[in-house]
Amino acid sequence: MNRSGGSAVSLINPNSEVARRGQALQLNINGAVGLMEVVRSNLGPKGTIKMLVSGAGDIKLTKDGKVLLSEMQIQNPTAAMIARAATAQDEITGDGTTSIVMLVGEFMKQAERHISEGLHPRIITEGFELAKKESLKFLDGFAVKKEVDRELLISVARTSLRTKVHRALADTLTEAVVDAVLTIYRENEPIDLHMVEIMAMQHRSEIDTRLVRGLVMDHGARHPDMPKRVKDAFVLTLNVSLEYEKSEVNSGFFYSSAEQREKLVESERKFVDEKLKKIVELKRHVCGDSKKGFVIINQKGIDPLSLDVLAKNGIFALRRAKRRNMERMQLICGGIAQNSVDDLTPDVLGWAGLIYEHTLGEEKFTFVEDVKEPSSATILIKGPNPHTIHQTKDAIRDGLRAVKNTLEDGMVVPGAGAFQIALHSHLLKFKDSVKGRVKAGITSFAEGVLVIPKTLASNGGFDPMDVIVTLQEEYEEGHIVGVDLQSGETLDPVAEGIWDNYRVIRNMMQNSSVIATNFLLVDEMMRAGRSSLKADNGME
Amino acid sequence: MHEIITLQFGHYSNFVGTHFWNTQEAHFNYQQLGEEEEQAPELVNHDCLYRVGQTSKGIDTYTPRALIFDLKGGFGSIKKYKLYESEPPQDQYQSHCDLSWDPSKMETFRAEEYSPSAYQKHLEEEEIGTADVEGEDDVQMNGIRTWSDYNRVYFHPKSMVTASGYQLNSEFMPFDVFSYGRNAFLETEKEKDSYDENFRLFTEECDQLQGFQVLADVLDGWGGFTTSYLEQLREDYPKTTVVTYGLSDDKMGKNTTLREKQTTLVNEALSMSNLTRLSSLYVPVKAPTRQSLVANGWSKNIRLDPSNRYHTSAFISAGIDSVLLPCRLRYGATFMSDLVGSLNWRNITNIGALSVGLPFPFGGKSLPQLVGKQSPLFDLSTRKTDIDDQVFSQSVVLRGLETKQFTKYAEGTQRTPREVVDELLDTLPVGKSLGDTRTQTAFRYPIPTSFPRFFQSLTVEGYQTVDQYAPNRRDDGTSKVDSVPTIVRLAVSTSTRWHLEQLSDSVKRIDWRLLPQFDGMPGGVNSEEFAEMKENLLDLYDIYNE
Repeated sequence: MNRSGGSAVSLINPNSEVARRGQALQLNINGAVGLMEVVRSNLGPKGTIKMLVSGAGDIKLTKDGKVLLSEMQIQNPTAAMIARAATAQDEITGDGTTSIVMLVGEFMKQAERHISEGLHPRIITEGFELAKKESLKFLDGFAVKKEVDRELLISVARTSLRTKVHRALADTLTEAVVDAVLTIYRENEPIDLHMVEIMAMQHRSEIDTRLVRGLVMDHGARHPDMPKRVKDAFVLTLNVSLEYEKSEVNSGFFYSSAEQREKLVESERKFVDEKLKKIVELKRHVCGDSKKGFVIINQKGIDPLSLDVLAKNGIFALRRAKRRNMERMQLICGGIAQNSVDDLTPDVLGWAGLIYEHTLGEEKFTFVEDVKEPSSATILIKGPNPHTIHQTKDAIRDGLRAVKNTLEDGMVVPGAGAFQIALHSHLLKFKDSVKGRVKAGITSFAEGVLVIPKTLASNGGFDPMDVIVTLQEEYEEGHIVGVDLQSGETLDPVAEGIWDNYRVIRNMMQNSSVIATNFLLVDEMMRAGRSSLKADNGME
Repeated sequence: MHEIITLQFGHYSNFVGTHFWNTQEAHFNYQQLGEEEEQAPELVNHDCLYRVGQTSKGIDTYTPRALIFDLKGGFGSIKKYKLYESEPPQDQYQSHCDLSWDPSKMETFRAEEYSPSAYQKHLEEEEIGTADVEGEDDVQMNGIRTWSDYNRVYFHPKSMVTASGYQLNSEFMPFDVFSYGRNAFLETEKEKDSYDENFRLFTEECDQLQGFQVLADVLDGWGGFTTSYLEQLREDYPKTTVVTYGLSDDKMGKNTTLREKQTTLVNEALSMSNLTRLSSLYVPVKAPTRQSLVANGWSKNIRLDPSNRYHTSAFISAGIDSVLLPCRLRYGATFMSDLVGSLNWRNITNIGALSVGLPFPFGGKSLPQLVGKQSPLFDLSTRKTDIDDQVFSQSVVLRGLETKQFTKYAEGTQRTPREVVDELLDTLPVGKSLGDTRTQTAFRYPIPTSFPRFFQSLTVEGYQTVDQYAPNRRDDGTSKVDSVPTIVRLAVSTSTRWHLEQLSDSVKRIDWRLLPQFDGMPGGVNSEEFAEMKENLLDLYDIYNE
């Protein structure tokens, strides 16, 4: 630490505070390890749940690393950057945030030992690079190519969900999540998870969450005389304004008398009435005198006068539907969404066996059910309060991602820490094939990955060292083994159906080593100075 | 119903918005008083701004049609779910974890508690009936830190949205670049779907939406956030009237280094160019500063502290409340589309200028002059005025005064009180009579107890008085008032050219390559867009400079 020599940065900006070399590295390591300590206890199904209480007293419950990192107010800059990088992983794969933070922290901790003995960080990071490449190669061999059937998907979803929510809820969600994805899945086509609607109802208990093979919408008809329950219904999906809209331009100007104004209003009203007429004609044509129902789902608005016309003709209509529901409706009921009423024919109509409205306080819900071959679905979340609903929603999103990943990867990785145990052993062998001081980096990396099974064990209430030794011994005998969190003994993840996503593990290895490398190579850190450090730019 | 939905983007916008909603609540009280007297008719249709709802327990609610965006840490002590809470939170949480979690597996992280302000504590005590008999006027208002400290209104839980990714006043990751706002919008929508989940709740229920009233901070990232939000809104509401107030004050943008100054300028220019494009009417509003107050020679009835956001936002809010008052009147309303249509009758001039007279000085020997140095109208939008300025159109709202109150000034002249009023307003010249909207109502601007106590030498009704021993005089010399008469003018005039010229000149000199923070992320602004914005400002300048 040579401050008198002056750093290049402080030459440019004399107001900056500069931390150099060892000092900078130490700051980074402290930040990374500090962050690791925060998330450590969430890892795995036996991890703790965190209750976050905001300054105003609002509660949030979570066990998800991504949620935790984005909700907590992280002050340390290194920790904040790691958190950002780790949450980016969640965006790509939907899982693995906690593990990345753990791995980065542990890699840096392991590296610190060697660096304090005088090794240059560059040598360590070169070792990391070799180890990372070897790990990815090893992962490809270790992952299991399996035929992806419902049973496997359920195992994967369960493994993911049990790390996010309590067991009873995880088991409720598992089937819903798998069946939702299977409903929208078409072979050789990319999976668009947006086609699974997630709808929340603050009502009863989270265990009542279920899959609806149809669509649930968060609004209802806005006219008292519209039917609230329609059977055997034609469904017309529209993106057509049924509102009298005054054109904004010159609205007040082209009329000079009240009559003229009336006339203008009337002619514009007529325009809307023409549209309604076409819709009503179609309804009469397809329904005739039968008891069949007719339902309109419109993305645009419908004003009270139009609602009145529709109600009089026995049509059930929803306005301002979500844009995505236009697409979902077609996937559920068939038919083709219309942007105008000019080409209305019976061919554009979809069909649903049952459409009904459900009211809860001020909230209305419309269920479209009993459809023929839905290729979109809704997961209906229930929960007694907002924070339970949030937590369930977060878990469902992750579960959906896990199922999608599996379908797209076509292979899975044995879980419960089995991969890390095997990788550790493999890397130690690999190290012997490498010459020179980079070995230290490979060793650090190998020791680092063990943090996952160690933490799983300690969160389960077992002695991590004991567990690791047992696991390693058994692995050397040629078995694939993971941690049994019930007994603290070993288990066979393949037999137990504990599977992790291939791409989650792959990204995790890749990202954690890149992040750790970047921070290890930082040798100067500065806080940009401002000539006047106004302490507070809020209120005075 | 003629609903108006209010969108508030940013911390300062929420300062203004909070005053705005407190005033609406005061409107209710005012009405109730009238009912007791069994005469005063309901002048304002509250359903324009408020919605009727019901909690899951069946309790009826009446909450603002408002969407409030702020950063994490910006909401202070406000509790999102308070109104719609299902059970007391403590029990709720306990019963919940008894059911599903092993309590030993629960860790609690408590953010530093945001202690409620003295005013909030008082309101809470009032609600449960333990407050001192003394009125709210005795509660200290000096320690106001943020907008929720003086908020009196319960909002629907879906009214409040925390933007993702940034924290209020963070030094490490400040929210000070237009592009950060667009990026935060993408993140927020990905995480929270606020457009479908929050915004739609308020729009779907509208039968005859008049339009949107938008408050936005424009010197920091919020300008970008608002731009993205309105772009999305315009896809579904291409013709609906949108009136946007682009708010700024000295604390919003950093101005210490050259780079900070340039960043703030570019933020303002990008906001101006984009929000003008997306709004039916865009009104830049700059909080009063010390210099501008001095230059105005103003005013003997108000002691406003320009360094205090709580004060400046109240002043701005008074203007915003009155501007759209004609659209909310129960009888003879001028709806937003007509109001904006007559202001922007040329259809190319959609930047407006707002001036506010708070209070309208009334009760003295003579009527005030509306033009010139002594004018009570304080211009919040234009930085400079010139005798050559031409007014294309205007909407003037004079409230709190009935024509008959002007009798005093008509005495001894040959004129009727009506003519006196007209003559007064005629001093505000307009190019074409087509674009001259005037609204006069007896309905005074109500002053809730949350309003800054900065009035002086006024009666309880807000009329001028010289009485040193008036009963409503506080110890510090300020006057306790229930309501005041105000005058507000929203105009479209050539004075906007000064603002456009100044912005355009300043950004012309900026080397885009030296501001890399604007680009390089989803939502970033590239050099073509920067050039386009400069062009656009020049085009706008040409329109106003004729």
